[in-house]
Amino acid sequence: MDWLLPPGMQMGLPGATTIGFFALKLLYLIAFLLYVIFAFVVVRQIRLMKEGYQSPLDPLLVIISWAHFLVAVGVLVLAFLFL
Amino acid sequence: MSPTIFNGTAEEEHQKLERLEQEIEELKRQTHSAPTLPERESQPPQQQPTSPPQEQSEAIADQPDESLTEAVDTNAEETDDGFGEMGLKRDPSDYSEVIRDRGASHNPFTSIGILPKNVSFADQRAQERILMVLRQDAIINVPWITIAIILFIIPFTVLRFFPLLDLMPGRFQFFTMIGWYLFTLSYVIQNFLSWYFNVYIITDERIVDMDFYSLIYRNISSTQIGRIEDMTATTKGVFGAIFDFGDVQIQTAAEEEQFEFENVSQPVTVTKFINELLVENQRERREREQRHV
Repeated sequence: MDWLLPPGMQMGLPGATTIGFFALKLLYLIAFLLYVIFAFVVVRQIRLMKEGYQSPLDPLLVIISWAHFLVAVGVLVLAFLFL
Repeated sequence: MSPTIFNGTAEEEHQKLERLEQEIEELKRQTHSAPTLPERESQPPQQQPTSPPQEQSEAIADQPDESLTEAVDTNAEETDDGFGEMGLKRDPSDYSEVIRDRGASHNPFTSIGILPKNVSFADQRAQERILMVLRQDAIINVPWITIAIILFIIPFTVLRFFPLLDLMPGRFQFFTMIGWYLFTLSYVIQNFLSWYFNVYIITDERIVDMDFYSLIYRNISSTQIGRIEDMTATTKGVFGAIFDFGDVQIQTAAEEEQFEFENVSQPVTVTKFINELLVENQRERREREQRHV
């Protein structure tokens, strides 16, 4: 938005596109954070379901749930670093 | 009419005696608190294996009645359910044609699991045995699997003709794709867990209905086998007729209590099996009453 200001007053303020991408990044981070919360709920819920009904697949489901949670956390961290 | 136990040739009697002994040994293993069989244990060991079959049959014929009566009395105060807890239980394959025909299941994803291994549930008693685990028929999963496949291939098809993401920088496009597939994965996970953990368990004592309506809401209900009064098997629609799945409604003696197994495979087979359990329950009740008399 510097072009709106006189040359002497142009101080390197962030442009509209920069603010827009920052807002977009914030939305992405919020979305990925919600997904991390969902992944954690899945981990907890599999544990509760396992307490109610035990089956031979329980160890595999626990591993998959934790791997899913770690992937969600990893995506959040990468989005924070690279967006 | 009470069954006559000792009737037939000596060889048949000997086989029946061996079967009775095996049942008694199994009962001993099942209940640690069961009273010992003092009469049998007090007998000197050399008498049991060396006596001829007829004498064994005469010696043992008088004993099981008292020992089983003792065992039943011990547990009668503990529970008053509609199914004998010990002393009268037979192997399910002895009274269930369904189990004899189908045999034990080994597939953890099956919609009808018979005598499943390494399966248990909360509140299961030590002597309680799971005979059947039911889930909704696998065909019920086709709609959400189809949707998941469509969600998976949309980025490769729709975006090729409508490049909506080209308006954003490359790194935003990448994370948008990541977010899309995470959303698809969450959809698959939720549907799979809902199908896998919504089970109907039939044990030799009761029926348990486990419902997980969402990831955070769970409902578990159960009823004794002896309290079942009425059952209805319903096959719905064209797909139900083709793939043989439907509902089984179970009416119990309690007021307004009804169990419904929704979209289970082979509902007629399920009702047949529960009928077999009811007959076996009634047989055990009669035997217990006779021994108490």
